[in-house]
Amino acid sequence: MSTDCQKTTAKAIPSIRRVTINDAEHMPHDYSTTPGGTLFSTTPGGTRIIYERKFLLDCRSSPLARTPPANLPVIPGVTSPASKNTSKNTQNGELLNNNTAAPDSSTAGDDAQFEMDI
Amino acid sequence: MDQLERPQDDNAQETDCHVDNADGNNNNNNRRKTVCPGAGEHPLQYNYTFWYSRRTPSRPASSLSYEQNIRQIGTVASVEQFWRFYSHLVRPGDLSGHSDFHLFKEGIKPMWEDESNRSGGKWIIRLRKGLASRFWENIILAMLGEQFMVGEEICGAVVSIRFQEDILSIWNRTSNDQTTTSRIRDTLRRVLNLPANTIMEYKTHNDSLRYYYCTTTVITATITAANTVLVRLVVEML
Repeated sequence: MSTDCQKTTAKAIPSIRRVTINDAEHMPHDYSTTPGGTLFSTTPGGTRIIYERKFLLDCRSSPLARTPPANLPVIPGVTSPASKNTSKNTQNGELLNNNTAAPDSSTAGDDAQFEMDI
Repeated sequence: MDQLERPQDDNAQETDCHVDNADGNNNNNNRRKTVCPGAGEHPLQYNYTFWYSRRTPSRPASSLSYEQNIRQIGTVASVEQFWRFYSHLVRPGDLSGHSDFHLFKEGIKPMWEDESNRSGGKWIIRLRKGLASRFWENIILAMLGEQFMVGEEICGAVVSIRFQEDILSIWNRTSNDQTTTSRIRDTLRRVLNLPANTIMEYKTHNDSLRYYYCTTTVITATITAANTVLVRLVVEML
């Protein structure tokens, strides 16, 4: 261990990260991201859990995200509990509708993003 | 009240914050989390609860019937739990009638009267038909992902399906905090990619309350001696 101490200099917690863009091609293609990714991954005094939209969408395809919640109430026209399983009782004692598949909103949402709004 | 009772969450996995909530009604100040992220799941900064409400056209709106018409769907503590619920709900554009989805932080009821909302307000965005599903998804992903950067101020978001237009709202705690409301507005513009000329309006809940309670008026007409009719409009605050 070295005997001479090194002084550390105090620095402010960085709150601004500068990303230089020289080319218009490097700008993100949609308004909801910043060049170089989110600038706000930490906050002084603590960490806040921040997720970008793209990351959240990617999580959707994980197996953990697919199973129907065990306690989903049955509201016709609102909740779509079933996959193709046989009907089973919910907590309400009502039989699940086993003919409604989970709505396929994954493609619809993405396609709609590229629609031109006139 | 039955409909406000939290559903038992059997999927709470091996959590030490799992609380057996057989007592039903959670009071507003109860900050204990009843749901936790499962193993391998990505935690959210806050837990959120999905709510659904619907008003049948024949029934008049009133504070009491509103509370009876709104019900919880479930509470989520992780990204994966969120998708589990969200994937098993119909998209707002496919809802019928006068319906709303609400996604609010756990412990905050999606009502003006809730303690967290009493001094608060909301940004509202009116959308033409056909846009609600896409924008609802974008606004809740922004909220869950903590994109608004306003500390604890966000209370929740609502998508309201109505006859000829749909309405997106985002509620915050303090209506007179202009820094917060401006930042929310700027984030909405950034994350939503709204159509050009979309108007965003900020309303305090107090204004909404005052308007709501003012819809009953009493008109008195007096025939004066000169046969002119004097009409006095009296607004009664209930």
